[in-house]
Amino acid sequence: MSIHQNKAEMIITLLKALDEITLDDPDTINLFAAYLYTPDPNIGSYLDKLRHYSGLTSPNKNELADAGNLLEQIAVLTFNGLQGVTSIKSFRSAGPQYDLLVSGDGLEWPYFTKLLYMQGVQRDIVIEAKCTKEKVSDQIFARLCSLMEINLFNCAGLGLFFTLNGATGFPDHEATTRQKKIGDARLRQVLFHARTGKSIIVFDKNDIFQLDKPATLIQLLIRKIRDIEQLSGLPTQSCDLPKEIDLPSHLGNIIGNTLDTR
Amino acid sequence: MTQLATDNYLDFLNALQKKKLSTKFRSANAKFMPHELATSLGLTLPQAHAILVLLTSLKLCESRLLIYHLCSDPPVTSIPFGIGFPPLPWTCPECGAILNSYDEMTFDLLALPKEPIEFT
Repeated sequence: MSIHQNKAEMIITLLKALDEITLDDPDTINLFAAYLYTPDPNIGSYLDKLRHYSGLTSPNKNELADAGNLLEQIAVLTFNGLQGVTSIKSFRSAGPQYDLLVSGDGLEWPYFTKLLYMQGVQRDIVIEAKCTKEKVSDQIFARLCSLMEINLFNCAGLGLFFTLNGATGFPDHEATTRQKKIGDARLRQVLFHARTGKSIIVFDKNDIFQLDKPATLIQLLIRKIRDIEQLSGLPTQSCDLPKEIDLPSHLGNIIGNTLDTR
Repeated sequence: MTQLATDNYLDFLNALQKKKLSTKFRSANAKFMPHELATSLGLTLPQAHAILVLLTSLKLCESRLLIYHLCSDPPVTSIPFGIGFPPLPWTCPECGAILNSYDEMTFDLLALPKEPIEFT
């Protein structure tokens, strides 16, 4: 007799299985991640609308406001596809306005936070959606640092910006050379991580447009969190590449992988 | 035959379980499901899943996610394991019902080894 399980039971079994494997291998994690992040069926149509707005060369005030709402809706849909979420909120508190606060109290959540290098009981995620033509400035980045350290000190372990154009100082997708200096919001990110152990990461439109595929949310988060310490100087590689490869030619050639030549 | 050093990946396996696994994975055209593996080797269900998923990620097995619907006892279809759950809305190939949630569906794993494996 077969013992088939419903979706929730299957996820718990797979997460327990992940705990049994003594290996931190991207291919294995990707297999599991596909079951932790199952995109909301509606996210594709919202991403299409965002593509329209991001293609506008000079959006007016109303279009920017609509795109801002859209980015917040995409953030909600994204976390609606993440298994184990038991709390998803957006409100103006006695203090600041929160675009989105997400947490989980179920069995899945500790596995998820472990994959994301989150520490101890600080298991909540705070999300800011910033739909601006400009990149997110150091000043705006610093505001989220402050929220996490002053308002959400005990609960929040991960901050996440949903943006169109990223944040200042982060490696550029168009750059032809590897970034070897850090400054602006990127420097703030590194200093905040060094001081608190907490990560604040930035999704730009290239990242967001991948969120309609299983596993991508987990893969992007892991890659970006890891890069806060690695400082590779490169933008986050697409999730179409199951492994991140960044090797000089004398190493890349021997395993037959494509190289990042920057 | 591929040798898999289980101490590097699956350190819960004892010598007898490794021997039984090697015997099972030596036979041609073998198919494995987690609950069968768990019962025959005295493993927990997650441990059996861990073995099959690891072999899949190491490309030693090809695995399928079996999809069951209320309308039928046997699985109604399967998709490759590792690409997530079937996207919604999902149409049952057996009864034609269009499902907008996973409530009526259940799942299992089926692994097909690509070559004989020795667990060392």
